[in-house]
Amino acid sequence: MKTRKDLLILSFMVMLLSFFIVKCFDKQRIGYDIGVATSAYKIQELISQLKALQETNRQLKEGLRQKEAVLNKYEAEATEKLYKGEEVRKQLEQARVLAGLTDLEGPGVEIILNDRKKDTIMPEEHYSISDFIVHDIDLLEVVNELKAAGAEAIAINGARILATSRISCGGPTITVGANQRFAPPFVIHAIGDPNALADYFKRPDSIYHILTFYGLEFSIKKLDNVKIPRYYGKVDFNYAVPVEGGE
Amino acid sequence: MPCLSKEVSKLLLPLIGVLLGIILGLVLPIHIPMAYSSYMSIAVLAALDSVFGGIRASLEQKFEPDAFISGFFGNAFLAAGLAYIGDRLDVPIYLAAIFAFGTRLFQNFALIRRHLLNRWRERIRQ
Repeated sequence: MKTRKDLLILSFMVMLLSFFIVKCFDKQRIGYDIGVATSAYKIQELISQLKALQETNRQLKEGLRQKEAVLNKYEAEATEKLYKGEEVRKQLEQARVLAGLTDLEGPGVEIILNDRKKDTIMPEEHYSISDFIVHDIDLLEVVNELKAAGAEAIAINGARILATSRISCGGPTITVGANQRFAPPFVIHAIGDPNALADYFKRPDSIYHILTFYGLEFSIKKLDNVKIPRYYGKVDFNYAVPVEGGE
Repeated sequence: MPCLSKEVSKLLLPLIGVLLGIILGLVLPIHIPMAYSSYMSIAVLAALDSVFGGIRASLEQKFEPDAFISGFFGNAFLAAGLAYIGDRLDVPIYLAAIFAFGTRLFQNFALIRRHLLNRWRERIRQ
């Protein structure tokens, strides 16, 4: 060290360095994932991929609508030609509604189910993180209670629940239906008598009390009009065949 | 012991710098965006290497402030830039920075240790 000035410079640089080192610790303290450092570029890339996929999805749905419009035209023609055609068409429409292949609307409820917020957990609480997150079983129970309360149509995050829909655990996500994976928050829409649907969760043994006891977010909102989308996807029966001439 | 007080005063200023940096880091509400955190880490490694180099140079009476400052910032930016380019090319170039600076860090540390040990031995002999 020749002069005092050099010492000052070195000290200043050391100050800068320790400042940035603290900042590196700082971001880890906020709870970022240290293991996987995702770069800005990678994040951008993933965002654009997601946007492209969403656009593709939208276009495919549009194509589906167009093809269905053609089908509807054929059906209208067939209705005119067939004996008792209108009756047949009505039955077909009815069957579609029952199968969940039509968009529906009506009065009902909107339930928002979300994990417990991290900052509401007290450090002195002895807990397993598993107690504070939405599990497949919870979602299944909510759907079951809605059905018990007389819900006529249910959708989770816009995925229509069919008779054959499963709700199962997929690690950090919950798989709904054939292959739709969702992370919280879960927005559940149901059509039915809003009061009956909402009041069902007031029963003492309702899942509502268990989840709110653990601090999960569980809100129920009655709505005059709920729109529930149709089921998108294949419904194939590979094994079941109707019994011929049965009762 | 005038020689000891000189030693202490030399050590005191950088120590104050370290403490000041830590305090500023804790107090100032500047947050590095998560996306740039990996580049930040590489830049810090480069800067750390520069500081160790500076300490070594000062012990060898070869300290040049201009070389030190340019190395400090230049290495940090170059390392971060290389890491970024590596990300774009899908080649982990940042590993090169880790090896280069890591190796130099240990070398510099070893030299600093030798210097201090030699001084200490001389002092004991006197």
